[in-house]
Amino acid sequence: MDRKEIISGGFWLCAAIAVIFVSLRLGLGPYNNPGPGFLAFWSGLLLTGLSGALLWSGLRRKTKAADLVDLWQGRKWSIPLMAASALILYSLVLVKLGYLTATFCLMVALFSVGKIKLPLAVPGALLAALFTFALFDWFLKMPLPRGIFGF
Amino acid sequence: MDIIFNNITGLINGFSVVLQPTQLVFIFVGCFLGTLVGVLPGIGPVGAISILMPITFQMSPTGAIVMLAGVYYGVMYGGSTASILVNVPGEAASVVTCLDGYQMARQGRAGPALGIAAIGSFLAGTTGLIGLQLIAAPLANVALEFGPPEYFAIILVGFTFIIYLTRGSLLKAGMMACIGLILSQIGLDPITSEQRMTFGILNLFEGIGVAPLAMGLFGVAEVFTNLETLHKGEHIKVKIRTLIPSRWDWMRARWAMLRGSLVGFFLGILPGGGPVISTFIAYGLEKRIARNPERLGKGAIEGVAAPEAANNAAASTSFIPLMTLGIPPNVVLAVLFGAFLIHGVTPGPLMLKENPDMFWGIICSMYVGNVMLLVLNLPLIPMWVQVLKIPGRILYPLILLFCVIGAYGINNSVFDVYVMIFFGAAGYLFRKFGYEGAPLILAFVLGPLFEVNLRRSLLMSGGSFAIFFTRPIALGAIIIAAALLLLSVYQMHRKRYANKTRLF
Repeated sequence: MDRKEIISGGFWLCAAIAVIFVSLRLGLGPYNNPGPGFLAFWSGLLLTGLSGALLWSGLRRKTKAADLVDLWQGRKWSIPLMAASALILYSLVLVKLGYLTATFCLMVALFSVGKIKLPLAVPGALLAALFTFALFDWFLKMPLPRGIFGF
Repeated sequence: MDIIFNNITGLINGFSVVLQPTQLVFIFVGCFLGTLVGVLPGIGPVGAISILMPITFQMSPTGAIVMLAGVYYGVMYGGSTASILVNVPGEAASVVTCLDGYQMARQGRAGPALGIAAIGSFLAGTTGLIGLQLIAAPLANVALEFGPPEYFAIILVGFTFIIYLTRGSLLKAGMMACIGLILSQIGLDPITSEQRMTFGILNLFEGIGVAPLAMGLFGVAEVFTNLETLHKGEHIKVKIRTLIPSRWDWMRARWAMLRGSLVGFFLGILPGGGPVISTFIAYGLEKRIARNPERLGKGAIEGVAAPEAANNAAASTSFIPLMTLGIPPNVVLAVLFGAFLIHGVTPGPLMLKENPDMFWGIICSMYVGNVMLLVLNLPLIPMWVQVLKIPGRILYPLILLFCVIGAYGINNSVFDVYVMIFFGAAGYLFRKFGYEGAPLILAFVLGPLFEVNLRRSLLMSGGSFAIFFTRPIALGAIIIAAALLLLSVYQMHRKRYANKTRLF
């Protein structure tokens, strides 16, 4: 058994079945005038077959294949997780806090995740926020959110 | 005679566009940023173009595309530097260059390796451009005769090619292509304008944007993967005495460059081909025809010249199917295709007639860019060596920041940032579970074209699939697609029997 293939194959099998149901609701239409769900249906059906085959191969595998734990073994998986969390939090507060404040906080968080000491991370984050604001908002005229502080 | 006359007129027109100071600046910026991205391991051309795409919104369409094209072939140049100096490929098309390039650097011959890589890239890139210039215009005229069945069949070949050439599992590549097709269905139906899989979310009415998707899958996912290890790379103390290869090096490298150029030239045109595949094939060819194949991998200059020539030739010729048929042959061009559409230009057979300035401008910008890269990059190599020493803990947060700004800048919407983060996390997991992102993004970009042409073909034929078998070009393309699929299945079975412990 290969747990890695079973999990991913199983996930995509469920997703494919859901796509088939959604496409049937959209309507396949007749062959001479295919409907909005036509291609999604056939893509979903093909995905069902392929993910089913992957699942089957995972179940049939007799040798001791790589376990799910091996995927993250010896790697600091918590770092990308923290970075992703910081990005999500940033997206939530970006418009409210404004670009400069939110970006400063994000960069401090990301630099800290990379084990950069705070005395270096804070000025680095400030510099990154100011430089990108100047480049995108002032120079390239891309309107960045100002937020409650007005910057 | 007409072709030659049209070519000369087109070139004069194109050079008059790109030799304007603003366009020259855009080409320079594109080439410079491309080389920078190529030197830095991690992001690659897809991520770089996706990140930079929103910056180009304020530019003229021609300026935007010549800059992004500059990024593409700039990456090809820059990628060899990291491969040769630190044995870490700057991007996928430079993986093969590590084998002999790094060995040359260890033997104190980093200079000739970098020199031959730059000169080979220039010569091959120019060869590819001549091909692009000669083939593109006549092919565009032929493509005007194509109808929906022909387009459908050619796109189908593209899908099967990308699956055939996939490095990992065939099953997973097929699954990714299906997922890409399904994702491309989100939004309004192109024919009936009905909502599809939007779940009432207003931001999804126009579908998922190619830029946040590509930035997430390639940029953010790459950073997440690198953050796990915060890879420092092996820094060698490089002393570059001369960049000019010796006479002996020239003798060995010249035919390798020519062969690499030819391999890259043809693989660049094929849908699903492109620079990455061409480097592996060019290197394999060198190994096969070498008198002493054991030299390759131990610092042979042919092992640097052939793949570097191949990836640059392929980078140039891959514009042929995009600009003449409107079909992006590889994932980088798929993202560039998105950039064309954002700027209101539809690449395809009508581009030459509707936007001749842009058509010829892009071709000429690549000639100018190739010269710029050769002239600028050789003296700048010491600077790139310093760039390679920037630690990942500083670089990766900055790349993430640029990704966020890029995604936000597309529509000034946080929704695109969410989409990017979602696909960044998905891309990270895809890598963990052995799925490649390339088939997904190519299917995502080609999906709407595939669907519209399939449905129109069926409308034309009154629901009969025979329409794909009664028109010669469509039939030819379908035969190629079927052959590729059968060949893939055959290879999968052969692999399975050869290695019974691993089925797929």
